Amino acid sequence: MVKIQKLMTGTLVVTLVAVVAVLGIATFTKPPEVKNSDEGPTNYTMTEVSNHDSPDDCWLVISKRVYNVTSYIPKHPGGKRTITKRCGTEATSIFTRAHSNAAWDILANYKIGNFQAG
Amino acid sequence: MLARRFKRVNTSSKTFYLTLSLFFLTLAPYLYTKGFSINIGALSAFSTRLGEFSGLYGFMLYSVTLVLAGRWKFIAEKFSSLKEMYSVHRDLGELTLTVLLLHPLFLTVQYLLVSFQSAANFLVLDFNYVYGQIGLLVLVLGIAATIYVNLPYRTWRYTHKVMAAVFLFGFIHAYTVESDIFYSTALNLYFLVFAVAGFGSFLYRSVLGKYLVPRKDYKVDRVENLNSEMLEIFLEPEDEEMDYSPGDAAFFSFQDKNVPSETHPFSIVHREGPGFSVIVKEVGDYTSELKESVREGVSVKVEGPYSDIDLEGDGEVWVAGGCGIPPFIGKSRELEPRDDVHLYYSVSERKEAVHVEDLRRLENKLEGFSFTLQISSKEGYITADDLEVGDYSDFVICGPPPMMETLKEQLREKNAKSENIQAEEFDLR
Repeated sequence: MVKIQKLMTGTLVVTLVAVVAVLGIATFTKPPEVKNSDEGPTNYTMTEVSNHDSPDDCWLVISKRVYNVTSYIPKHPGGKRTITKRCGTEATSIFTRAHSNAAWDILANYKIGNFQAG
Repeated sequence: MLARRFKRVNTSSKTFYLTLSLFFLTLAPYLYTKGFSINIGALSAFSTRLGEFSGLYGFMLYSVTLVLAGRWKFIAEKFSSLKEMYSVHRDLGELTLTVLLLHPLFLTVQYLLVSFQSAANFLVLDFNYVYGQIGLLVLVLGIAATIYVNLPYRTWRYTHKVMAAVFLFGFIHAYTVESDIFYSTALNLYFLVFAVAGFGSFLYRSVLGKYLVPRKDYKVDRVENLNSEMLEIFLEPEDEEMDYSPGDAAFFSFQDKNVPSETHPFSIVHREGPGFSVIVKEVGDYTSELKESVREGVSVKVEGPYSDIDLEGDGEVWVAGGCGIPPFIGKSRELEPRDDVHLYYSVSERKEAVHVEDLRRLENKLEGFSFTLQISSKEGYITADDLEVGDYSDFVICGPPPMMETLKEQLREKNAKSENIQAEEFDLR
């Protein structure tokens, strides 16, 4: 059908333009600073993290950093439950196994401090 | 009941119903996985949901497109002709690419809200998505080459095989990245069924077809040159004869080192006695080589038959353009004396017309059959005004796509109903 072919051609053109635009802008602009430095005033222990174990107040420990992901829960591609059942816990293993580099970029925006063992 | 109704609707409606059914077959399990509660308030959440859904829907469309390409007989029977099934296959293929392109586009939005660098990372630099990226790129190149470039038959077949094979890349992508399929076992198994059906069809047809697809053995009985471009190849069965009807097509593979080995479809022309013939017009590499090299005694593997066009006979106007004549020749030989049929045969030059004397003889012999030969270089292209529309209810048109499209349009303007016009709109390659 000619209509489907036109739709496909249009989508193809839009995709090409979008990809080129994103790559072009990303190359020629400076990335915004993200809070992924290990420096910072706040260190949290597992006891403190485990107090934030509900969907309304959800902290996670991932790779020795502490994240408050409460506001991200509704946006999570894998659904809310995959995060909410892990609130207040160490989630490095599942996060590393299931996520891409881009997901780490997003996670960086939710960092509130570093994890202190013990 | 549903299958009978599906068979009766036109090609566009078939594509529409299939697309809609697959949409809901994707939406229902997707919503189930999300607990029927989707937060679409924020832009990032909304676009992410659309991105997830388009990935799953594209996967589903891709699987069904491959199933149709498997040329399963029980599925082909649900369509009015094999050409129609391939037409729907092509539409679904184009929709597959459209939907799959939307998948990364929608998912990029959430990363764009972080930064352009993050979006660029997601789109092209992230190794986690390498299977999806390669698969989509090959699909784009393959479909673009198929649609926008007039590829030689062999290259066209090769690109189709590659596009089917990259389904595996999509499968690995869907089952290894942080997708809904990754998180939900139910969704995982549900889509696995479609994936196995799709990829299984590809293996059945393209990889193991030589061993699995049933074929009948025939032998070239004689070859007759009809004119400078067309020849008729007469085949006789070596063993059991294929049970065909006029208007059917089959796939032929000539078993001789001098003849191109690939499988190619031709319309079957009925003949008296065992066997049948096919009329081949020199239109590309394969047919040129076949014309040069086919000879008496060559073994032929025949797969089919498949319904090519649906010819009732009585009460029909047939219009053949150029090499669209074969099915009408076969059917006209089977007409009853009182069957009311008018055949219009349009060719550019008189020398291009084949079997004219046969058709004239039948016109004299059969009371209800009339035959008109129109030479377009002298009399102009055939139009609806040239046809005796009168009491005839059904029109069957077979020829070059521009001719069919124009005639269909003209007949509709003359108040002929769409469901009474049968036209094969694309070349069965």
